[in-house]
Amino acid sequence: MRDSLYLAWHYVCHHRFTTLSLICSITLIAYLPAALEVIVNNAEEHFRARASSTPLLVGAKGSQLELVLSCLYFDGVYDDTLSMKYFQQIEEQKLGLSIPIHAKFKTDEFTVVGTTSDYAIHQNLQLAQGSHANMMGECVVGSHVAKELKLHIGSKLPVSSSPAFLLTSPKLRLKVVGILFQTETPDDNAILVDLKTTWIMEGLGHGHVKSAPHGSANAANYTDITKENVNSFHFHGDESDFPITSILVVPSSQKNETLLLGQYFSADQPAQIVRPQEVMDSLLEKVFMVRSYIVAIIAVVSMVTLLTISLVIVLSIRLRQAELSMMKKIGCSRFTIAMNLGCQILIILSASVVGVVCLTLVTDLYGRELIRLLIL
Amino acid sequence: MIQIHNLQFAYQAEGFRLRVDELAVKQGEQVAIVGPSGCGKTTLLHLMAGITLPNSGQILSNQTELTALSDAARRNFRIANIGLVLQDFALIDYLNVIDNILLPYRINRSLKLDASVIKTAEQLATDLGIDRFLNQKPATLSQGERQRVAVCRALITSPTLILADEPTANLDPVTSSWVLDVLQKYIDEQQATLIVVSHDQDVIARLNRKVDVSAFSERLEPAGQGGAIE
Repeated sequence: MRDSLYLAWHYVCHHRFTTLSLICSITLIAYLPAALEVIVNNAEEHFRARASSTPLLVGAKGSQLELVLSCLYFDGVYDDTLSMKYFQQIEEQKLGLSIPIHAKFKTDEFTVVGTTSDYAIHQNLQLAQGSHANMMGECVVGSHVAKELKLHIGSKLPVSSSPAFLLTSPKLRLKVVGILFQTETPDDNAILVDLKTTWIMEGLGHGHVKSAPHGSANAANYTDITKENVNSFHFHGDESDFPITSILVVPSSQKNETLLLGQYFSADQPAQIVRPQEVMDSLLEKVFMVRSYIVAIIAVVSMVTLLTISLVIVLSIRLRQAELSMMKKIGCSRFTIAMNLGCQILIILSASVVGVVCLTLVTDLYGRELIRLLIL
Repeated sequence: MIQIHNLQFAYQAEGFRLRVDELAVKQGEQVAIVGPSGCGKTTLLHLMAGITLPNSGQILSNQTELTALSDAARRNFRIANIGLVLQDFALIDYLNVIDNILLPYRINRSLKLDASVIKTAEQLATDLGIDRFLNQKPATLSQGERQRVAVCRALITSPTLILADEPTANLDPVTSSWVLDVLQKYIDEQQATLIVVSHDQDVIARLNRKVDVSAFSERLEPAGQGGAIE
């Protein structure tokens, strides 16, 4: 065996390009389904974890999937809103923890999430730098937002707002007061502000701010909410009519959950309540169906590639007839010749297995990052 | 050294038949096997080596009846006692010179590769003037140098019988003479036996004895199945 391995090793080293091609082909054949499995499992785990941490989500009637994706994963915008009175009603019933979410605005593709301090506690968000937002006009940004927009504590972040607001006031600039640790969740891509800040962005409140000196581009175009002028900001109208996009609800008991679900059962009810996990399960079922098609395609491609590889091996053996014939004449058995050839295949397969394991480990290691980059 | 009695062999598909009633080659003899192309010179050499089995008859090599041995025993006998020099050298392109010389020790477990064998291989390479190429691949060598490597490979097991099939066919006259010098020197020193298939009159003239195979063979009309081949 040692001599067969010795001869086989020298053969594969001498024909290194052929060997590398074979190893790469086999590695890819085996890696693709393995990577698909790892990525889909990671994605599934990732999606389910986020959804399972929020048992119920209340939002305006419409697509359940869009509601969950926009309000829980901050992917896309759910334009239909609820009034704050829905949140106040749930609060008054004391059926569990409820957190209002306003996620209508985006800046540089990152969602501005208006919420309360309970959100950070519920999602277990830890500050890497700075402090939580305590005042209107302040924001805490996710790690990816900070990295992409090169933000640090004290940075000013201009944000888009509603057309109505644009007509009446300059754009708002948020002050970055905190940067979150990376969570590998949609919160990495979120700009967290106080709910009132999003209402100012909606044009529901305003401050009486002096115009900036002429020639100062930043100050001329944006409004900063500062300690000095914060008291001049005020809202017109009843807060219970102000909009939110959803309410995250964590009922304190199974009974409370059932009670809440019953309240939104009526067909004429303008709000809906969804179980995010059920919505994501339904989405993932479709993803798995697509995965099975992809696996089937990979299986066919793999079979064709394996047949090609077999052909390459058979042809290479035929090309080596003179060498094998000489070995037999000298005194080598057919078994030893088969063992020499087997060792070559063993080396190629072993290298391929090592390649697959390494690539799969790397995929597993960076799978979440990949999912974050590709999906979230 | 070699004794053949009542040997019959046929490639029926090709209509070829070889019949040797008696042939003896003594130890230390240097024999040229001659004859026209296709008369069975290489076949006779393969029969003497035990590579091919006859349809009937006896072949004794060094008092061992080859036809009575099992496949494995015949291979072990061949690798230990017979040095084969082939016309096309048949060196392995992916092994360097020293590994080509040591090849018999890597393809048959009846031979044990140790430091003394490696030393012998290096000494043989020095004797044949190829010691500076030990770590080179055959592709970098000239025809003459390659044949010297093939001779080293044939001699590494210290065989008592050298069977050479057209060993000088691809060589120039000087190299050809040099290769024969090396083989004859070995034969003289080891009291071994040399049997050479050759068309080269210079080579034939330097050997003690000439066996014309055309006297043993005949061509018939092609028919049915082939003969017994290992």
